[in-house]
Amino acid sequence: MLKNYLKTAFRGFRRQKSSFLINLSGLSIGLTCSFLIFLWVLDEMNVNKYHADTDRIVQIMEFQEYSEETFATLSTPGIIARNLKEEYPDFEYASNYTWNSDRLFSKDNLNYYENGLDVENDFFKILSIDLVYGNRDELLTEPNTVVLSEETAKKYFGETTNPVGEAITYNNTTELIVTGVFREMPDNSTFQFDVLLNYDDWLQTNEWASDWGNNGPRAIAKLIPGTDQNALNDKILNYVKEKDVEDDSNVEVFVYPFAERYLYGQFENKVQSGGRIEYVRLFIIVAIFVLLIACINFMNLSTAKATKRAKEVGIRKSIGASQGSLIGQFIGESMIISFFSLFISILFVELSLPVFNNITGKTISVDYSNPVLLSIFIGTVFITGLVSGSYPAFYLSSIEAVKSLKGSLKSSFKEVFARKGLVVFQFSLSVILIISTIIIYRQIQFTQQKNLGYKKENLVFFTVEDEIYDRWDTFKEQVEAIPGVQYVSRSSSTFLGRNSNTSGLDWENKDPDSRILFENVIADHDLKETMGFELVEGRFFSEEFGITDTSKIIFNERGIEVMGLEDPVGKVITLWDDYEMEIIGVVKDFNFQSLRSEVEPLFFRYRPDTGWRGFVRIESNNITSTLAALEDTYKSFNANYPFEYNFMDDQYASLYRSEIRIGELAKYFSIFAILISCLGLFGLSAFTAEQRSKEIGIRKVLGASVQSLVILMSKDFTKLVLISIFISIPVSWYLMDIWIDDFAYSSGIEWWVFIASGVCALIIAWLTVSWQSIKAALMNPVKSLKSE
Amino acid sequence: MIKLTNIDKYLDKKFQRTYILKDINLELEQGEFASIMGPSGAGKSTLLNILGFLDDANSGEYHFFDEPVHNLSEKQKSQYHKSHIGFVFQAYHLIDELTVYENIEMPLLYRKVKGSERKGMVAEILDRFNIVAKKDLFPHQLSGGQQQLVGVARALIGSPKLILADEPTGNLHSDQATEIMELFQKLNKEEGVTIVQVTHSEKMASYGNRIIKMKDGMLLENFPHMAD
Repeated sequence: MLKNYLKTAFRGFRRQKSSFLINLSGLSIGLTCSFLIFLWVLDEMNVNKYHADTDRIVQIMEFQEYSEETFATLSTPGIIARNLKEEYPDFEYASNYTWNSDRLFSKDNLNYYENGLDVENDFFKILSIDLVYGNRDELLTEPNTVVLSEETAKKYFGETTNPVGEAITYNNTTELIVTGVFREMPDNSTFQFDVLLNYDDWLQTNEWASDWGNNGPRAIAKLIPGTDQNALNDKILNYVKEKDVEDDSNVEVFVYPFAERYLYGQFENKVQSGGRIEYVRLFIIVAIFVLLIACINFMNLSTAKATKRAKEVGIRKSIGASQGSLIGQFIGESMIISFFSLFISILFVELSLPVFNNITGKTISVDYSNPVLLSIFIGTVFITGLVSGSYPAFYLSSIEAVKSLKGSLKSSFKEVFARKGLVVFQFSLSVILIISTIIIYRQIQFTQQKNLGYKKENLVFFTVEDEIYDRWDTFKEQVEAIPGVQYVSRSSSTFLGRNSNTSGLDWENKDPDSRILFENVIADHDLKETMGFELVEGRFFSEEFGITDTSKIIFNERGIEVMGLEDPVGKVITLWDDYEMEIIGVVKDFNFQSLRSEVEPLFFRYRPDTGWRGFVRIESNNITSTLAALEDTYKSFNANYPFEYNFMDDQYASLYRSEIRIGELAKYFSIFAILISCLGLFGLSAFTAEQRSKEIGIRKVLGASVQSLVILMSKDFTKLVLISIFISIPVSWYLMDIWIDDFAYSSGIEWWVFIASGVCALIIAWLTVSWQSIKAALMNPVKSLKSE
Repeated sequence: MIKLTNIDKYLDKKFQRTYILKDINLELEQGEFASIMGPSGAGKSTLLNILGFLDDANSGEYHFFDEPVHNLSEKQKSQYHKSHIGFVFQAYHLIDELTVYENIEMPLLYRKVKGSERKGMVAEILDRFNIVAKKDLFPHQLSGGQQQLVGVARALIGSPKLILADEPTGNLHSDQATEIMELFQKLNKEEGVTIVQVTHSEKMASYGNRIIKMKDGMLLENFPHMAD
């Protein structure tokens, strides 16, 4: 029996090549898209989950309450880990650690910046870090010690040497002893570093971090088995408030599962809300939709061709086939096609993975021995076969034998309606994707083109350290002399996100309960010119006034607004209870964070000799030679440092990396969605043209022009696409409104986007249909009339 | 073998009921070769379809070997199809994607006959119909007469008690038609297969031994007819 079905199926595919190919390619593309998405989702779900005892590893976090909002932060007092571990037996291991930054290492003329963190010994017991050399209990237990990654160790000590016990120079000043070598962290870890340094060394040079009132270092811990995290959170909630009695602390402490923080890491008013999981969900929905569009092709073509299959159904029924066996036969056929598509799509997936990895910034590969992956693949194919085969199967198998054998089968109104409905559904989804893509792209473009309040073009920055830090004025003079350099300045901010902030300000008529966070930026007198800030009132810091300007302060407009000061210039505010600072100017608001955030209050203080970040504004011509000269000057001061610099506009663009990724993905998926929809439309129009060939023949004999016939045949499909456009507009408007709401500054959603997308879909649909229509209209009417 | 009592078949439209069959009473004995005749629209095919369980009557009783068909479930009906009834169609109705051999084999598949047994049965019937050489051809490679021969072979392979033929020679020219009719006659006489055919042709009807005349959904006359 099975053989008989298979034969019928395969010979049928051969006879109706075009619809077979349409189904096969549609399903293959659909499956490829969804497999890629599933791979991505699996990868996202596994991030940070590979550590042993992953459910016991927690991030120690804080809620900080301010007048405007309460936010969750990773910043903690720098001694919280050891104290919690000592006072609460629930903590088996706990380690504070610092943030990723570039650290200069040297050995025998090799100078490199290595990405590193300062961690405590417990760090190695909390996370699963594979050791190549060294004893886990002795890592970083002594001052001036370091642990290197395998690659880093090879770079300085050669391929085969065990470097444990050897020395390496740090920051051109300190000799560090290597105590261990670890394997590189895997790609699905958010912790990535080349070197780990001793946290206690860091703590000694950063005394502020030992103060309960200051936050900065992060903290991670492993709890003892069976710890109730909620109960623990109740106990430690006021831990910092109790320690930090002299300040009026606004900090609440809690632990949050480390592995979950990746997908569920956002909080709104102390409640977990969203995070990357939203993108995961969104893309799962997109995958299902693309696949559904492909399934609909299958359903539509199968039911449209039902008249051809109906005879077979009639014969089989008259011979004694039950409806059940026919349903089985037809679902079986769609299963065959969908398993064919499986093999093609696996090929497609392998071919497209490099591009996909490039877009998503991942290193995904297909592990065919992974049972979860395999069952997802096969399950998807199975469901696809079932979904796309079910409607045709029930439809075909319910055809009455008498009618089908007499050839009096006509498409019922219900059936045509269903087919049209499915086309509308397909096109609605496609148009929604097109509209969304355009809006995402517009927003990305907007972020790049918006006037930020400073000039991000032709602005280079680098880290100021060692000789350049100490002899800044000389360095600055020499750089300013380079042709092509306009301004040189130093500051403490990157202007690409928050760097340092404080709520320790007092001003006249301040509401004693208010606690407002101000960004705290150190500036020199040329920062305004270098960055291109605009002054609204007063003046910027100036060399003329020299050292007296250190007791002056400059706010941004937002800062003045939240303090509610009228005529601010000349007024005095108190900083950290001790320093009286006179306001000398107001800078126009500029975006110093991604456009997701509003401009927040900010002030500048004058410390011309302490900024660690150097900015150089250059002319747009001869950039290469200007930079070469800059490097020479740099090297003449800091010979043992590699000169690493960045362009402000590049770094600014990278703030939107995830949006750009989403945009790229959305682009590809909407292209595929419309492609698959058009494949289906192409098949349907071929079918309609065939069905109406007699009508067209008669019309032609009676004198209809080719043009009028093409219009006649395109009319129905045009109507369907128009309906789809009307359905998709409100849906996509609603969805994109939610997305764009995340941005404090946005391009908005403009009406022309909908019109453009609609026209675009309509033109594509017309092109698809017209090929068949023109072919039918050009046919010799004698032929079509004879064929009846 | 077959007993129809007061069979009615009608279509209901808004305010009007159109009868296709009205008050049909008919008995058929085993071994009969009956021809239903009458003008277009007389209800011949509908009657044949009801006889073959492909269609249901709106009222009346139908006994098949004393089994009340009007009370049978779909499943039971499909059982009867498989074991008791063979169909022959005017348009042959072979499955285009299957070869002669596979078309003939198909009813056996639905009856779940074992592979080796199936082969023997198909070989035998191919042999009997002299179409062994054509067994691997597809329907469109055959002439109309040959296709109908395959159609008859397919109807016969399940050794049915009853063959229902809806204008089996309607699409054939006279030589081919004669061949099919002689085959029917032989099956009827030598193997005792009951045959009911619908035909427009007096000549074709004359191969049988009974003519049932119909008009406007009613039986006009109904008399035994002596062959030759």
